[in-house]
Amino acid sequence: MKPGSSLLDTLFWRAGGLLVLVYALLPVAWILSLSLKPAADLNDKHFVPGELSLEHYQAVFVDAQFPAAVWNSIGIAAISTALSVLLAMFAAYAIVRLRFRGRALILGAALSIAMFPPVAVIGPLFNLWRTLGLYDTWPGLILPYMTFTLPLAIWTLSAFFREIPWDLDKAARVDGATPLQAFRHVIVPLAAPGVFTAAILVFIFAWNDFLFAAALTSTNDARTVPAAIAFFTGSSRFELPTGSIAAASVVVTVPVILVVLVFQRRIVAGLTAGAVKG
Amino acid sequence: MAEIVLDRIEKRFADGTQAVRPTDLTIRDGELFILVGPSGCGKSTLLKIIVGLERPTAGEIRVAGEAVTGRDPKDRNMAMVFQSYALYPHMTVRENMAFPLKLAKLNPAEIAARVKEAAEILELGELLERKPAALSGGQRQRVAMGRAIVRHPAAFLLDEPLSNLDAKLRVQMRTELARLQRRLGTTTVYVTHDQTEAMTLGDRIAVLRKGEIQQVGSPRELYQCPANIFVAGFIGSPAMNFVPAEIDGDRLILPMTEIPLPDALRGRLSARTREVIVGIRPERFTDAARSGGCAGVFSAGVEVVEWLGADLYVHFDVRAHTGGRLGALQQELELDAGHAGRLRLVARVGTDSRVQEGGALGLCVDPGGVLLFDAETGGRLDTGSA
Ligand SMILES: Nc1ncnc2c1ncn2[C@@H]1O[C@H](COP(=O)(O)OP(=O)(O)OP(=O)(O)O)[C@@H](O)[C@H]1O
Ligand SMILES: [Mg+2]
Repeated sequence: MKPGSSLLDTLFWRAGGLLVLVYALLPVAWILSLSLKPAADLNDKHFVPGELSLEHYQAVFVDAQFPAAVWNSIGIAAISTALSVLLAMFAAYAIVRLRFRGRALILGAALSIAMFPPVAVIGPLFNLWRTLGLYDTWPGLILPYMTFTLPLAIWTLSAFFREIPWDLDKAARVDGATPLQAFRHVIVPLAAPGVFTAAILVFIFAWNDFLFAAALTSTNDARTVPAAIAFFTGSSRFELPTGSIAAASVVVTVPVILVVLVFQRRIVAGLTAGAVKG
Repeated sequence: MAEIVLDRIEKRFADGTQAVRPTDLTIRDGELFILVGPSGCGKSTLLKIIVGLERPTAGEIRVAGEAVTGRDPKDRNMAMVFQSYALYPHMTVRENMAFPLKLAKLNPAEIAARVKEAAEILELGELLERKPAALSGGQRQRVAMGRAIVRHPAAFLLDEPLSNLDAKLRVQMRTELARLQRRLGTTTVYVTHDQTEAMTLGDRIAVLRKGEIQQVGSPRELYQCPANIFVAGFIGSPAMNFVPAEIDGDRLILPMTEIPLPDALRGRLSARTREVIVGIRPERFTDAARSGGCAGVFSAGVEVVEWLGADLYVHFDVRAHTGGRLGALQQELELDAGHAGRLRLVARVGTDSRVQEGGALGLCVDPGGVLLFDAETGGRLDTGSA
């Protein structure tokens, strides 16, 4: 980079970054503002609430529906993430390290699943789940979440596995490890950034999904937060539940932010530095 | 500690590459055995077969008399040092060295004791809590070695362990490795493509070419009595000079001069042999002005003079036919063979010789020091002499 252009460059990227940040966060700030306004002030057209109140948050948690939905969301998203990442880890390792027939086919098939529009399977899935007794259950949501996140997880993880020198697996084998021990003690720790990246992606998908949750659940047994929010009602039928929706939205954003913050610290690039030279 | 026997070992990869041709080899208990050969000749493959990372296509491996051909690497109790060192980057030096012991389920006290012992031998004491990324090349090499010795394995397998180090450190580590091996007395197979390393380190050396063992012997045997033109050209630095020659009665006609056929050779060659390749080590030339009455004096046009303190190397050209087997060999060995119609030769003369670049120097050839090779097969014609 030329020294003359570097200041301009920095300025350009800073300003661009700021613009995107404001554009993305403005609605979030608005929702936060709404959730903190007393019911009477909801339509006062002020961005900054004149008076702070937690009444919407209280309202949301008094109703039995919302805590149940939060519990469902956490459970379903966590289990989907764990299973999906675990399966993807084995699949990606095999694809990267083993030469077997149909390697390309598996990767291609995975990609085609990712391109498949989920809307197209909702109808059949609804009927199928009712027949199989999976309708309105946790597995009923976990299964489609895994299906639609596995391809992404496999692709992410195989990119990370490919970066790990093959000599490390071999060294571990010669050092007395079984293939599984070599994978667990050497490969997985080194692929940790990839594992966490994949986990975040899967978790966010499962946490935010509205389509499957709305179509495949009907009660507090398995309804997740995005679906539950849609079923909020106001205190009378003339009142929109704007405040409650805003408060619930803020509450469900918190775990995602937490997950990203926690995992982000683990995504340190260059963890493989020093493994091999040359 | 164990003797390693390779019995008709052969390796053909799925794509048809014949990396190792049927090979018999015995590596004696406790010796430092060197596998040397140019790049791609199958050294690493042979090593991986011994350690169990590759399965041979045919043949049997026996360690201490026990067949281990199909055994998993983890059950062979051998330690390998990779060219890349393959240290585990997420573990400290201590954890790296303790890893094989943990897998072997040793108790923590024993593990700590063994790591400490290895760290002392290799002078890694202060580095135990560092990660590999924070180590220099030589230190990484020592950690890799440490990870191998903590296990008290049946054998060490080292795949070009020094090739990632700079020249000075390489020489230093070479001596250290040899000393360590003698001290531990563990059977060691050492792979290198560097003939100097092979010559200075090994008890015995096997020279490999295109998956085939050319000769096994002590450094002295390989140098003085190479089995064929490949070994002769590969071993020694600067490399042996090769010139095409003709036998006429009891005289040997070289492109630049004639010398009497060595006594040892007379009568040993079949009458039909006329065309041969003659190998002359640089030290078998002498400065004619310094030694009275030597054979085959000729005048060499000096091109380059290299003065190395104790030695003086003189590079000169001779006019000769350069094609055929000789040219092919020189290409394979990546020797500076000169250009069409001219052969580049090197002579070592005493530092008191008066030579000048561009000048002429009278040289003669020691008839007893030349080696004869078959012009077609490259095999030695005068086995037993020299
Ligand atoms: N997995 C493989 N599949 C096919 N061919 C292979 C495979 N591994 C090695 N080879 C081939 O086998 C031959 C020997 O390879 P090897 O790695 O043993 O050479 P090397 O002597 O160790 O060379 P270098 O000094 O460069 O390390 C080479 O021609 C190589 O291309
Ligand atoms: Mg190699």
